[in-house]
Amino acid sequence: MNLANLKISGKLSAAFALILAVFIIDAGVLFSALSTTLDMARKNNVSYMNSKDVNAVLQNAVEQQNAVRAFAATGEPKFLENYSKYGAELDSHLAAFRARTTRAEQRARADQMRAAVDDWRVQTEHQVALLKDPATAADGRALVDTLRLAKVREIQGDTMKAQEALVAKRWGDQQKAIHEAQWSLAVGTVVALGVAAAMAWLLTRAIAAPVRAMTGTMGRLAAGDNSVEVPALGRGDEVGEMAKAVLSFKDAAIQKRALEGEAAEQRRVTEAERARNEQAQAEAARQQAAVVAGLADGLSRLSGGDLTSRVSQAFAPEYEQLRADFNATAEALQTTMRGISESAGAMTNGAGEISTAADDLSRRTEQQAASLEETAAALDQITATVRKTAEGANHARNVVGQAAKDAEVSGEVVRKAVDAMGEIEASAQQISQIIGVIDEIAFQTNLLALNAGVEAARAGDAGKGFAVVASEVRALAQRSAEAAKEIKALITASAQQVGAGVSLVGETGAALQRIVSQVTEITGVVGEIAASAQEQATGLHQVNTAVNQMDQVTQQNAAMVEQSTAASHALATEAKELARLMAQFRVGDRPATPRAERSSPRPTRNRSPAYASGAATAARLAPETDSWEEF
Amino acid sequence: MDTSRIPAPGAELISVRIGDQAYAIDIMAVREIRGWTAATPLPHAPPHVLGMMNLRGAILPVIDLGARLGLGPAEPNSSSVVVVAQIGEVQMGLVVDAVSDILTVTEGLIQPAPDVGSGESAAFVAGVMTTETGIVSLLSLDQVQPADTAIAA
Repeated sequence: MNLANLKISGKLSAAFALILAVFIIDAGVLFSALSTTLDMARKNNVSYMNSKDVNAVLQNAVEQQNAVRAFAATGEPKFLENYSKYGAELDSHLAAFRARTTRAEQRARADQMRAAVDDWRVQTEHQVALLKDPATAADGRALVDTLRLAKVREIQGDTMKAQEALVAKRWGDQQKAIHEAQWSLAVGTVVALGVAAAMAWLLTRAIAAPVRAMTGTMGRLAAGDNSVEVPALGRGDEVGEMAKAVLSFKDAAIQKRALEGEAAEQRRVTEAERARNEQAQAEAARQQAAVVAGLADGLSRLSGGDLTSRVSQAFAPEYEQLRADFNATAEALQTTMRGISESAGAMTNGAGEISTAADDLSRRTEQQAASLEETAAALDQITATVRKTAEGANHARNVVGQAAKDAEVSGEVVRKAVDAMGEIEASAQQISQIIGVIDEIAFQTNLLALNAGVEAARAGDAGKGFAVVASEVRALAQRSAEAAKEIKALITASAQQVGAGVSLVGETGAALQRIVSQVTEITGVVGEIAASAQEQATGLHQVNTAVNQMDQVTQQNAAMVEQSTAASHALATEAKELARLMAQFRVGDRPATPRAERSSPRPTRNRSPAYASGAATAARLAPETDSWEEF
Repeated sequence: MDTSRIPAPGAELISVRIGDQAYAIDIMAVREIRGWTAATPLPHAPPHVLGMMNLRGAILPVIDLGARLGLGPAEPNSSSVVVVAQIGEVQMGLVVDAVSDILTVTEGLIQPAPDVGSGESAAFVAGVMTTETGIVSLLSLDQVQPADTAIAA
């Protein structure tokens, strides 16, 4: 595979892949050496821990021995506690060493140490048992010098030696691994630098040199040198593609130069054409000047207000239509302005009439407002009067009620009078009976006197005196009877009069009862009168309110009428101004057209049919005017 | 004229009233004057006999004097008076309307009754006299109870 045909990205990737491979190999070697070193260090750490445990076993054994010796010397039990405590620590350290060590000979040494320690303990505990008993304490103390840890110390020394030899061997391996790592680092660095330099030289040759050649070519092409040869056209990488693009730029520049030659030829042909056109335009401008002069003359006359002007000079044939249009426009304008002038005159008249009518309306509205105010004042007075009437009716109702009460009291009096009369009648009856008794007594007395007279007469002369007495008694009896008769007559007359009085009093009572009922009726009627008066007052108040509202509305109407009057005056003024402005136009005499009658002068008050759209409208307008006048 | 029937001057008379008429009776024929009490009717008695009355144990006939004199039946009331008269041997009660007065006979007071051609009238009226109140007839009580009837009684 040719290096020139490989893509720039491919080249770069290959170079960096080579450098990376060198680094990966170097790093692998380095990693291996470091792993070995680390492994050695870890194993040395384990050996250190084992050494520490073995030393601790011996140390604890010595402490136990010291505790027993102290117990032997002092006899205090707390040393036995120390003995037990150091024994437990010894066991734990020995078990840890036995579990951690990986070598078979060390594990055997641990078992030996275990056996030696157990052996020593059996003897020592026997000694302790002796020491506890005072009888054998001397024997126990004698054993102190015999019981030694020589076996334990021996095994501990062997073990430590084996550990140190192992550590020394590992230190050598570790140094060797570190040396390998340093060597591989140095070699790998040198190789990587060499590879990187080689790749840099190769890439410069393959990319930078062709790009620099292409840049020079493009600069010459931009400067206009189309004869330049484009390099590297045969390459398959990006530089080759760039060369193909630069080649197409070169072809395009050559084609553009050919096109510019054709455009210059075209411009020459256009120049000749334009000269011919200018000649024709001069001719047309001359004709246009004549047309413009004619139209300007006509327009200036139009602007001066002369609507009768026409363009009479003939124009070139293509402008003849313009002249005809101008003349028609002037004609139409004249006709329109004439109509406007006539309408303005009519508007002036109409505005004047409206103004007069508005004045009349304003005056009448003011009169109406004044009348409404008077009406309101009169209504106020009527309301006051009605209110007085209502008060009077209320007063009358109270008075009549009092009268009714008095009449009822009078009826009571009449009833009492009737009762009194009845009592008088009863008394008269009793008197009459008594009178009857007296009458009877008088009658009997008379009879007795008569009998006495008879007896006296029979007695002859001897009874003369007795006869006189009897005569006197008879006279008295007769007078009594007559008096009783008179009294009876008087009593009878009195009873009759009392009866008449009773009937009269009864009639009086009935009359009073009727008066009471009539007074009650009067009270009701007067109450109704009072209520009616109250309703009248209320109604009048409402009427008053309505009249006041009417008054306000009329005031507003008056104000509006004044405004409309002012507006109508302004309208009349404007109409006059319009007529004055219209007079500035000369619209000529009536043209001999069918619309001749529309411009005829007309009287001010009589609207001609021309003013409105037809005679019917005029006829409709006239009655309206009349009705306004009547209003 | 039978002068024996006219009392002598100085004699006294009792004037009674029957209706509107006044009559006089000789006071010597009068035994007693009583007030009216209801009489016990007597069966089949003449119309002028009103009945009988008890006077202190003695039974007397009661006679309507007006009816007996032909003046019509009386209607006795509380003011009526019974004059107990002694006629011969017979006593009877005479019912009159009232006893007016006791008169004393004077010379020429009593005049004979006018002759009217009736024996009965002459039998009953012994004479007439004029007083301030009018003419008073003096009655003769002999014929009040006819003799045959009196004998029969």
